[in-house]
Amino acid sequence: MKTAIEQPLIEVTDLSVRYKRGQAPVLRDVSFSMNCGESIALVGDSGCGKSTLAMSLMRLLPADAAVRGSIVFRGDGEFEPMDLMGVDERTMQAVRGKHIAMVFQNSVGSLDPVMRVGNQIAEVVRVTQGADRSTAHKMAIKLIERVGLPSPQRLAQAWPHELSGGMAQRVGLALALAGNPSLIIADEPTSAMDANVQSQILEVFRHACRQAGVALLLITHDICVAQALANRVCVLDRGSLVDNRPIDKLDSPSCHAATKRLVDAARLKSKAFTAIAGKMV
Amino acid sequence: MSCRLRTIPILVGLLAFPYGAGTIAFGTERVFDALPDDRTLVDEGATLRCRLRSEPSSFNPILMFTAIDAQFDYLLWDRPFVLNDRLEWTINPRVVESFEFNDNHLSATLTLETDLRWQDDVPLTAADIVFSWQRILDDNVLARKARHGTDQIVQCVAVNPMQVRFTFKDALATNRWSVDFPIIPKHVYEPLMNDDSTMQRSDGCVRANRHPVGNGPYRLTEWASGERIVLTRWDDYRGPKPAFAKIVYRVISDNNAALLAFEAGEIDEMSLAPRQYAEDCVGQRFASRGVKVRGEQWTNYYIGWNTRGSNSFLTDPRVRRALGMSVNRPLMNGRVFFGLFRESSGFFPNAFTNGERRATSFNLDLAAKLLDAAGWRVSDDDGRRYRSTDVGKVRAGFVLNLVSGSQTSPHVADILRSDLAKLGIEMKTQTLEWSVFNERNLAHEFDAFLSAWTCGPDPDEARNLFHSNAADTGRNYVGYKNPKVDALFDEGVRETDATKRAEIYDQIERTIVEDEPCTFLVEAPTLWAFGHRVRGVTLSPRGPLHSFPGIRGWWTPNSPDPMGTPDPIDGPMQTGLPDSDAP
Amino acid sequence: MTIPTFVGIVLITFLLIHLSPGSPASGTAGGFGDGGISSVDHDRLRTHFELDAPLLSRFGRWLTRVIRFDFGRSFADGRPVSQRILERLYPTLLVTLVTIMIGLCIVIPIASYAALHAGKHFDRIILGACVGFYAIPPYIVGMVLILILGVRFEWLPFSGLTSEGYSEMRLWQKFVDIIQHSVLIGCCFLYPLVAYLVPFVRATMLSVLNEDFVRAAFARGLTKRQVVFRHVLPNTLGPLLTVMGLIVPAVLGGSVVLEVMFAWPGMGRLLYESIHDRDYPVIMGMTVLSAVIVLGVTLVVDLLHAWSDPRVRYA
Repeated sequence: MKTAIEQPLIEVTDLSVRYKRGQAPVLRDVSFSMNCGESIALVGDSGCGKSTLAMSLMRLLPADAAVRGSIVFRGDGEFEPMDLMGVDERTMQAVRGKHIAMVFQNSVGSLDPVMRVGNQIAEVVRVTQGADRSTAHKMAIKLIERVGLPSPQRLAQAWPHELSGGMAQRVGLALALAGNPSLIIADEPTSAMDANVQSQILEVFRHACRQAGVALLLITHDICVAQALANRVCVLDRGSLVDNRPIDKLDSPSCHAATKRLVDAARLKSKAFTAIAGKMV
Repeated sequence: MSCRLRTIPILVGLLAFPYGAGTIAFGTERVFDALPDDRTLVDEGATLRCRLRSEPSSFNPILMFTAIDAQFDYLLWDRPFVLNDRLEWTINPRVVESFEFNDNHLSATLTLETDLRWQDDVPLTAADIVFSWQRILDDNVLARKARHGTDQIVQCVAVNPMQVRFTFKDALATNRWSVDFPIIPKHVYEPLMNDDSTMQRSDGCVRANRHPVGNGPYRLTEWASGERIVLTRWDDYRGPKPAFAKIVYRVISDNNAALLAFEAGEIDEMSLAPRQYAEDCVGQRFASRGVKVRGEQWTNYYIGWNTRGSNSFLTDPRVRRALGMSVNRPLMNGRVFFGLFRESSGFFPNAFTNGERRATSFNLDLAAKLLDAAGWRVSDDDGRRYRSTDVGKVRAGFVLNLVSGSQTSPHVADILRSDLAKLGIEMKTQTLEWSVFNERNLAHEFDAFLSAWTCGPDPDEARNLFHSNAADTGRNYVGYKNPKVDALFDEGVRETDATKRAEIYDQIERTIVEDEPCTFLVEAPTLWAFGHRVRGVTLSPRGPLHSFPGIRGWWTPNSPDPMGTPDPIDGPMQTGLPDSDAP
Repeated sequence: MTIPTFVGIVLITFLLIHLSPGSPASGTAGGFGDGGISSVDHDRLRTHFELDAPLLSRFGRWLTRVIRFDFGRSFADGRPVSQRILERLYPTLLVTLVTIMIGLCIVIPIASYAALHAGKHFDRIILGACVGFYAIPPYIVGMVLILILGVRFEWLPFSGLTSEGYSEMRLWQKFVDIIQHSVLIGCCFLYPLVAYLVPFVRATMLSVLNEDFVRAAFARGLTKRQVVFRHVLPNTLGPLLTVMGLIVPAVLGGSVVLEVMFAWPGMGRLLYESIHDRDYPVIMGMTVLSAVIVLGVTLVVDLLHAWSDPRVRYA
């Protein structure tokens, strides 16, 4: 991993989100920052606002959501730092996919069922990089290869419903990588999979991100998954960021109660996981 | 002869759109202006646009049987005999040089005019007439209307190319109707009928039936199926030239749609439903387009009672007379027919009998007395009428069959039902589709039915309704049998003296009214609308189209004629029933 | 599966029309001559129409002829049934197919716009208008159109398919003539179709818009236009096809009410007239045709469905 550049890649300051007037905010004054190539795990119980945070970074929240705060994105230095909260929709479209990409929990459902896999990847390549049809297609095949899928030519012709969950998530990663972004947000990328597939996918993620030097914001409820991929953990509890520490400092007594709860929950998990974690870390 | 209650308004209850409340009507006398001798006044290149309720099934006059088919009869064909605007038997001088009965009405000789031609320029000869007679009586050919009467001719021979001799079964007064049968071109049909003796089951015959070779003043020039039929004047026609160069028939089955087309100037004539006449054709818009006329028509609405005993209540003539007295004709006319109809006094037009008679008056008290006398007494328990028989008490009541699609008959039935209820008689109604209605009548499986009958040009045609011979094979659905009436019919058909005939039919009518196998309700008039440019209309008791000269006599003025100045409503309008035969 | 269905439809119709009361012999009479009919004539007609043979043997005879595409002759005018139906088929096909095409061209943009702006004014107005229009019977709209555009202003013809003198027109004049005659009746076919389909397509589209892959597509940097055209619309097509499979055969049957009102020489009127006259061969011919249309449209829809949705192809 490269040394951190002085300026952080993205800097979130006092982000608050509220869906409806009068209701309790989903996110409350969340602040954190990420450096280039860094992997951060955003951990928290379900319903604590993790996905909202991810969607607010992409500015894909529903229209009625009220958002406050700033998200300064510097990217890899190609452009002036900008506050994603302030830019217009057109600029934001250019940021999505090209600078910040996303991988979703529902791997099969995130693929258009009536479009071939290869075409979907190629479409993103064309949209984000302006490549022509044939170049985009070649790049799509390369991307399929990069996420470790066998016989990429044939897979490019496959329909989403023909893929298993694991394969679909690799395609999801390929789609995220297609725009050559500097940040990938992965929202619970493995939580729907069995342990064995999960470990393979995590390995692919780690390998791909490291190879491309992409920063990874991993959103998960499972601290073990965080341990497998991230160097740092941010803990979100009921909309507030309560803890932010390196991954190896989770045993520290200074941890927030919510962090402790999550770590305890992970310890109770099966031995199978310990084996994986041991192999990975 | 009859026409049934069948106005099939498909858009039942279509929104009635008022056209404003204008009360100005235009003088209608111009529509009856006869075709002037000075043809420079006449626009001889004009096109007449007529409305056709539905398409004809065939242009073969032998196979024709609907009123729609018959509409074209006098235009495409010149027949030796025609019905004039009073439905009188008339010799057509265009075709016939002379016609006379011989042998005391047992035979007749017809001499054709010289140089008659079919529209394909083949001469029309006596052979065509003989051929037509043979075909009409051919069992393989489904001649229906044409067969009526023609079967009285036992022999029909061509004496020479110009002369035909008819021999009749019997010396009858109706023999003159019997010789009035349609004529088809032998040279067209004979070769085709080698393969198809039915005349309608081969492509050749069907083509000939649909593209007729006639001898009348018009030829069929276009038939766009379901849309339009176009007749064009035949330039080589040697008789008097009709005024319109073209007649376009538009197929518009719905009455309301037809009225809209009339008001848009797309058609020049249409028959009107009573409601249309009374309520729709009153505004400025209508008045700016045309006039409405009303004329006498020999059509009566009636209820037939099954006298065969399907319902024991109806077998007694006293009961039927009581039922006849329970018909509130003035109310029916006023409420259902907008006062445009007339109360029926019988089934014959006055021309067939001696003088006027009055319609049975509405009298529930007298009806009750008659019912009491017939043994149908009101029970104290439920107020209904019963008669005690060996098997027990029988309740007075019957089912009246109606034809579906009629807008008026349910209302007629409602009026009768409420009056009968006052007498303790229960009347139920049953609405049947035309085909089913007819089938029930044929099988005599009914109590009573509501229908209409249009009297033909000869009173003997009522034989089919009331002669006992017709009870099993004819149209005597009610099963009326009275030896006296049978004898009178047989006498009347032989009587050639007009006055004596009228006396006989007068007696027939009186006797039948006494027995009341049918109760005649109201007499329907002809109700028609004509565009302002139409002239020369004559109203026969079958309406303006089905008599001679009919449309042949219609014309339109040459110069764009001012539409006529509006007359106030009490001006000379053609509305009074008795005087509305065409001038 | 198709052939037993077909024979079933045809047999049931055959039995229904032959066993129902009334017969061609009693149905065709009319006019001055014999509005009622004498039983002698009635019997002659029965013989003429060959109605005396046992029912099933008649069905057998009919079916063996139909297999050779011989539908017999119409009782009414003696012409071959196929000829009678064909000349009525094209005006109906003309107006309905064009209507369906135009309808889809109108429905998809409106419904897409409404779905993308769900809950906004436009969406609410459109939905309200659709419910309102769908509730108005076509004959009332037809009447209003005729009264205003046909009678009052005389802008458009409203009865029939062609004008007088059609046969002498040049090709483009014929085309214009038919188009003019089709406008009003076409509108009456069109608006219920649009009013029915817009809410349907909108709802389908809304559910597609809530799918994960749409959100994912936005997250991948696609513009709204790209998402709608490349992902949302193709996914709306499947349900739309299914509905069209149900609508098209119904519309192709023509509409008695509208055809009568506009004096349109179409299938609905032919069927009405033949049922009234008990013209069995024509009724049966139309039954065969509509069975073929329904089965054919179902087949086409299935094929299109498979083409548009790979999941169906392998199911």
